[in-house]
Amino acid sequence: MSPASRGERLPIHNRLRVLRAERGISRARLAEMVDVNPQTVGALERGDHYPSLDLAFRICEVFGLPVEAVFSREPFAPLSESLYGGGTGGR
Amino acid sequence: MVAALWAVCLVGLVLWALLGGPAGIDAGWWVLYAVWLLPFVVLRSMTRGVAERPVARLDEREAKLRGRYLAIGYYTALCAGFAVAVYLVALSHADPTALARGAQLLLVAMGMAAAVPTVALGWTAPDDDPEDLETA
Repeated sequence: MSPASRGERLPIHNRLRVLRAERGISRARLAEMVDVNPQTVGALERGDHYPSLDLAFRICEVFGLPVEAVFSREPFAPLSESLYGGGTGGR
Repeated sequence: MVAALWAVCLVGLVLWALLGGPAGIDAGWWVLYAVWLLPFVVLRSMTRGVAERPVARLDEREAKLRGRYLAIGYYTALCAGFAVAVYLVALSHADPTALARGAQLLLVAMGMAAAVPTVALGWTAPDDDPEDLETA
């Protein structure tokens, strides 16, 4: 959460783990690319730390995606559900 | 475990200082003081990455973490210093010959201000995640 924020602490969800896995990037490599420590990438993935706008932009630049594709106020749906929809199991 | 040993030694040091005789500082007290500082030195070496690196080389999470624990140290110094000052004022009226006890408590207060942020960080920081160290 930005240090300037007040009031209710709203979560920021992210897709970092999925995006890393998809592109075969380790935490250490991503950390190197955005100039933070690997523990900070781990903390972001676990939701223990919310990124500054600067760090969020740097991460999005690595994946070539807009901020809203990587970070969201709402939990992201599982990738399989996004691709195939529904989740009822039948056709 | 380390934090518990540190806390027990702290209580021992304060009680020894408060209940000890007026004839200077015992050698045993110095030994206990050294034992008390040892966990701090060990934890300090383990948390050196966050505690001692120049702020320009910390990332945003580490800088925030360090700020939080330095604030704890600041308030510890403030409270412990105030408690020692009150004790010294009271002691100057009750038994002015026993001022060595005040020096003992001042040493404990200084040690606490230095060690509390490190002990708190070492105690509360999560263990390293093996995935953080993977390079491929």
